[in-house]
Amino acid sequence: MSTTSSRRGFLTTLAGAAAVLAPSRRASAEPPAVHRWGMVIDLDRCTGCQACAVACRAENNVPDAGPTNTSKGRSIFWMNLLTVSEGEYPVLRQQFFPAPCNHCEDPPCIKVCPVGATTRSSEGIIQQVPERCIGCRLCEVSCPYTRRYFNWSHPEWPEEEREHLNPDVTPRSHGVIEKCLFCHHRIRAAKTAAQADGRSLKDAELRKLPACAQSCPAEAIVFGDLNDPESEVRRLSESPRAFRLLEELGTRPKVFYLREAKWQE
Amino acid sequence: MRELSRREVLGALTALGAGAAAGCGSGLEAGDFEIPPGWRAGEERSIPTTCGQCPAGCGIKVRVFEGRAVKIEGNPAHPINAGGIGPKGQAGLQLLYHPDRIRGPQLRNGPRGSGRWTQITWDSAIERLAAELGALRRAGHPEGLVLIDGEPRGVVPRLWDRFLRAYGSPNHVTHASTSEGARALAMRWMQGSTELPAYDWENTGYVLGFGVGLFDSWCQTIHMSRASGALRRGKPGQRAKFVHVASRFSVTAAKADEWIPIEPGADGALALALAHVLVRDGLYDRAFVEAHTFGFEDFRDEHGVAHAGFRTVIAEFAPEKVSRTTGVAADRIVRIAHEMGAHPPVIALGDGSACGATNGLGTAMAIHALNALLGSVERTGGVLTERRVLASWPPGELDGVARAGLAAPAVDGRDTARCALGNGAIQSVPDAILSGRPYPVKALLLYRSNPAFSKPEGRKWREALGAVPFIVSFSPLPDESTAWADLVLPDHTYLERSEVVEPAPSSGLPLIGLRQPVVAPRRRGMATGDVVVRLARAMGAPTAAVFPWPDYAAAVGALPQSLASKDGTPRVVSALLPAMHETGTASGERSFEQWDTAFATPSGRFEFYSQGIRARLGAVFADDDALNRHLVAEGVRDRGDRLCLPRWEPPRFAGDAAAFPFVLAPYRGINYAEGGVRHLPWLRELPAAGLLAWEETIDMNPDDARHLGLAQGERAWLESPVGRRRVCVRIAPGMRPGMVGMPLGHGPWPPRPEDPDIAGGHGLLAALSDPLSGLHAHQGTRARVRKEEA
Repeated sequence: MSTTSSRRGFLTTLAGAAAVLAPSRRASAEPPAVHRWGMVIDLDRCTGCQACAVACRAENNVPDAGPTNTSKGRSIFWMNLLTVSEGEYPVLRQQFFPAPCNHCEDPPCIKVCPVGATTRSSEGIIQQVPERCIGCRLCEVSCPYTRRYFNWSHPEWPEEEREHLNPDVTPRSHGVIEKCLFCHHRIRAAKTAAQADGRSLKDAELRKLPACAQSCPAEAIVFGDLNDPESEVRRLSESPRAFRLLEELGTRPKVFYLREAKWQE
Repeated sequence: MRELSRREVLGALTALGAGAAAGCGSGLEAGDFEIPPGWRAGEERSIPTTCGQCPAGCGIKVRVFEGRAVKIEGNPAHPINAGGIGPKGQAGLQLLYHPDRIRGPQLRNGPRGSGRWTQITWDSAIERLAAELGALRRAGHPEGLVLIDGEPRGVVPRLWDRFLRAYGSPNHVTHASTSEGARALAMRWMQGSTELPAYDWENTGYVLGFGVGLFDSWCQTIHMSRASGALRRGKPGQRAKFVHVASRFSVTAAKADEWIPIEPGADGALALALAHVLVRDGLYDRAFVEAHTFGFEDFRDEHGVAHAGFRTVIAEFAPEKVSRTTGVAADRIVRIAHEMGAHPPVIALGDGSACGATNGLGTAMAIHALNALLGSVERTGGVLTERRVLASWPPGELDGVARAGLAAPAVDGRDTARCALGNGAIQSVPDAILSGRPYPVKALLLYRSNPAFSKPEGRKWREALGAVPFIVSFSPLPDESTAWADLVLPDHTYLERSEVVEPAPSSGLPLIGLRQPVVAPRRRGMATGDVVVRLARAMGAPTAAVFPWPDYAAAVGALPQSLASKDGTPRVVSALLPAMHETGTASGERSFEQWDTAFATPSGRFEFYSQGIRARLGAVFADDDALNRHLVAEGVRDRGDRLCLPRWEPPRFAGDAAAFPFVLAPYRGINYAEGGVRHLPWLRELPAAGLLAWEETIDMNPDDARHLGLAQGERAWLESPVGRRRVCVRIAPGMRPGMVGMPLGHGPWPPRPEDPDIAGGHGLLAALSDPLSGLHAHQGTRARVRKEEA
């Protein structure tokens, strides 16, 4: 692939940068954020199909790792499926955790970044600015959830496959960190559409807004505004089944899981 | 400067406030794409169509930006998937834009397998095909034409059927004996239905699945995923139980409420033991059994001859007796039976590994018998017959050549002893080709089929392909069988086709889906439906006469359908199309307790004792002696009435247990799309595949691996009686000791047809069959694992 930026590539790159920069610049000047984005993943509904992981790759132009990078553990999955297994045959248990960035309220990754490449937006999204990132990977090792990925290669697609790249999202270059952004570009588009109609965002249009939630056949992933007391995500996050990963670390993730339940006679 | 303005528009859509990061771009070129005619700069459409990566028929909406398909999403208005979509469906983009797609029709111009091709025009390709097939017919041997058709249902199989009948070939060979044949045959012999059943998941109280990878891969994985969410969390305080019976601890086992590990091939014994307890303890639905079934009790036929009934069969399957065979404790069998009795409606279904031994048909019938015992058949929350929408065109006249050709036996042995109760056995085709019996195969058409990769005994298939004088492949991608073709006529992918789709039965809603092109067809392909119509017309009178349509679209439009229509609208597909272009689907109403259509059996009831089987055995075998000789030769224990009833006997395996100590457990993962996994990187790289995602792997129990000195990721040779393959070991605690798990459909890409060891797993399986149905015993091959010398 050529390293010369076409105008389109250049402009969409800027678009990506603007998207993550703009909210944080405004943050101090504006009143407290209206929205606080969060997600609930119901492990009782999830069937481990990994549609969410493919949807995320397709939506966010994450390149295939290929054989070599895969074998070295360098595949990038903004939305991953973590598997926890225990036991010996025939007493076995296996659990699947669809795992996006937890978008912590108090994220370790921001504290360690020496160049301010990762920041928290006023609406709680942990952002990553590829143009600032120096690829030191401190954030990657500081994240207790392993939700940050380093780009070990220049992103490449066969000529034909470049046709299906999402025009709304810029691929990240070699040598920087990338991660789940809660499909920030979709949130932005939804806001623009609501503004054009002169209305506020509705919970119904947010529940399946990120690509992962939209794809989920089991409707296990619910997205929305945790600040909205009427929202589905808020209601589910307060369920007795709700928990967060490594809660004891005090990172206060905004991704909640709902525990698997048991059949009872 | 049109290009510039387009990009400015694009940039303006998204790049508000740009400037800060100037010069720090990622150095990526988004591509320099022409906007195709009919599209404006920045224009975006969402086009409803139907997925084609598996037979489920999920509704999709493809996001198309400036004429390029950039995302596949579920169609929220579609009754099957309601907006959800699996990994396979999304990977359709990688199929559509696959860099290795074949560029237009190709004529071989070197030795077979040399990979030397000449590009030709579609006109000359069809002319060539018509000339070859015309010559074969004129020589008086239309039966020498064989079609292998890998599309399980739909319009193109109907077109092929029509073509082959008019042409005079009985050889419309399907994949049925190697896929979901057992469940379909149980429906055929017990209910007289020719299709798989549908299930009312939303209203069921208890699901007992035998060997079915409901969350791994079966014909309705996405529908099932959605249904299971509803079963568990849809109604507050109510939760249906899902019990999974299988040897291997799969994703489905992990997600089940209870997993019952079982000895391979013993599922039928467990089903009969459950029936035993249900009857013994009076837990079955007596009213249903009396009103709607035949052959539960012993009975006398119209000649006064006494016959055994189901009750007599299950008397021998007390839980205490089968616990050793199945590896399931007797008290557990009793508990499960009692749970089933207490939580109606119950769905029992068996397929995949449960019906993949040499006792497959008897097992499938034993499992389906539970549905009748519990009164689930045709009931809310139970098992329904398929509510079919599409019929076929009225049959045409046949000439003398066609009648003579159709009278010949088929090469898949469908009317012989080995397939007496089945619909043919594709795994027997290589022997027929190589032996020239019942007659030489002169021409082979491969439609959505790559038998050298995806059928048992891959080496023999390759040898057989080499022995056929003329082979045509319709594959849009190169593959192991296409490499041996003389003529390649690349099909459209499903994202470029225009047709209606008949999904695999799901919840019993009568439904068809629309497929419409989301982008202009690529790589000079042609929909095979159009090729069949053009071929039939090019060949003149006998075939042209039954193909009055100018093209595939007209044939689709003329197809009779059963959905209610407004007054005066003819009941053909074309009447539904205008609305379907908006919604992507057309459906009717759900219905239950359709007693008059549910049982197309001689008794008009659900038949525990299948009179159809009895009649069929009488027709295929000259007398009881001939039948018994066949049973002795095949090692079948049961005789007489027992063959007509749900039954179980121990499975047989290919390969000597001393030389091949492991039993192979082939399986399809969630990523098994049409053609396998290997051609689509998004499916190869699913996160759960981990570091070995690109390898051909086998799953081994940790103890078994340790005994062989094998560790995770190490190389080994997997050897079966019919082939071998260099594989990579994955340590899997969920693998039953003594079994080796083999995920199917993997291998190098591009394919290596010259490799003497067949990739993908299927080719290592022996062509062992259920001796009366011809169902392939895909779980019946033994194997050994040998550590690769350093």
